[in-house]
Amino acid sequence: MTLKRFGALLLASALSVTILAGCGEKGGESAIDADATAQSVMEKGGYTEELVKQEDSVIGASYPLLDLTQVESYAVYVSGSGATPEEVAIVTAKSDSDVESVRAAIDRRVDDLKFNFQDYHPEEMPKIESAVIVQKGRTVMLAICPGSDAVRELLEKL
Amino acid sequence: MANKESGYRIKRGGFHIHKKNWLLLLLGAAGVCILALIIAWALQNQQEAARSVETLGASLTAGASGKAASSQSSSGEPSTASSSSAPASSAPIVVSASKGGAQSGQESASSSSEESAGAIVVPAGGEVGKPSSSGAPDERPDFSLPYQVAASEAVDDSYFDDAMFVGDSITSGISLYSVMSGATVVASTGINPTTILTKPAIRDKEGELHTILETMSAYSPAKIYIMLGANGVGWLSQEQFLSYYGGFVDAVAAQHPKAQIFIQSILPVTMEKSLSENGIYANGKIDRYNRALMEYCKKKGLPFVNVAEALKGADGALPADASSDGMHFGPSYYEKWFDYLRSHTLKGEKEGERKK
Repeated sequence: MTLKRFGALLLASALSVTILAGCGEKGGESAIDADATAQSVMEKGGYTEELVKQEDSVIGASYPLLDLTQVESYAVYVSGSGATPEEVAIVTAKSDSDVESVRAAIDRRVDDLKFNFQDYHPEEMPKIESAVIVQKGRTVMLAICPGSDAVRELLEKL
Repeated sequence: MANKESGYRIKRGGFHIHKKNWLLLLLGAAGVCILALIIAWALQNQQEAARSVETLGASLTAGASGKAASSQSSSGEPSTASSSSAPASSAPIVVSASKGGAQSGQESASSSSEESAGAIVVPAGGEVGKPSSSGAPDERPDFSLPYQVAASEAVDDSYFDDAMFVGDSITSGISLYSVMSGATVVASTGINPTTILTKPAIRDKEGELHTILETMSAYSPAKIYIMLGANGVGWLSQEQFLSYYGGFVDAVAAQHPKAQIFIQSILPVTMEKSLSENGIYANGKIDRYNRALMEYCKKKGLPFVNVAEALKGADGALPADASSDGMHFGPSYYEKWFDYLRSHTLKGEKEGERKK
């Protein structure tokens, strides 16, 4: 009987710790939902084409410097046609120490797009020149689109 | 006697139109004239479109061997080099998917040449090559071309596990849309025949940029599918185009002597794109360049895969609803492309015949 009570108490304690830990995570740094944020950006940004979501198997093609072992969650959408540089990337680093390399990967991506489009479709360059990069905690967000002002406002309010 | 409703007044000597209705009558007459003009304009456009389709039908797909050569002059091409439209570039991009692994016993490019020359050719979907009503029978495609990969029994996706796709933004889409996850894609948006050998275009994980060829050296594919030209056809003469293209193919063959190289046709653009920019991307021009590519393949003994025919609508153009910019397209058209590749291979009976 005593053993049963002890077991129940142990179970209850474990549950409490688990729940509190979960609350603690949520209460600490407000988590940014990568997919939802990317969708909001695409709604606000005046995108001219439907973007394609990049999964683990192909993300390296667009973001070769992004090390997924340093990434907690991400949502990256790029132009499937390649005819425009329009893009959204919402990437949350696993730890504070990983943020810098995530940011570097995103900065490099913007550089690559500039390099890529300056001769290919120079008329698209203004979109890249006005790329929106906003960092919130461990999340780095990139948006390249015609409506950069509206997107910047959206991301800075997160 | 007056009839106000009908707007005219009948007198003894005849009828007179009420003053108020003169304006309506004039407007009506003007409307009829405008309508007539619109109909005339539409008829004219229809005739022009019909002529365009006839030209396309006569020029493309499998150009007639010897006859084709005489019609390949680049004279009459709608302008060349426009620096503003000259894509070049490079940069980020696609290497992906992976695999590779050279297979022993693969035919070399040179050995396949002699063998492919004897292949029986029955291109799939030949409607583009139907004779035009305006005649020009001499320009009709010759479906007996021995170097165009014939229709064959469809293979499954594993056939492409040892394949590499090389090209520009259109090829990049194979990776971006995850069309063929087992294949390796080495491509760069904006790359063209003049830059593919020299422009550092692919960034590796260390952040260093490499040319397409340098990047290809890290893999050992058994099959290499090349598609170039969408970015060059607009401003390179046919001779320049073939020269640069050939230089790249030679470099690839030297780098991957055991791989089977396939040359894919340049894909069509939408009719709107074809008619824009003074026709520098006209489908008729693309067809001529494709025919020149086929002639090149014949000389080099390389299999030519005419994927363009899989993406053409009845008018010989990429359907308007397939592309927002007239050139690039979405996943459903990649599926058409790959359905074509699956059913146009060197695998199977014909391959067996080649090896005899």
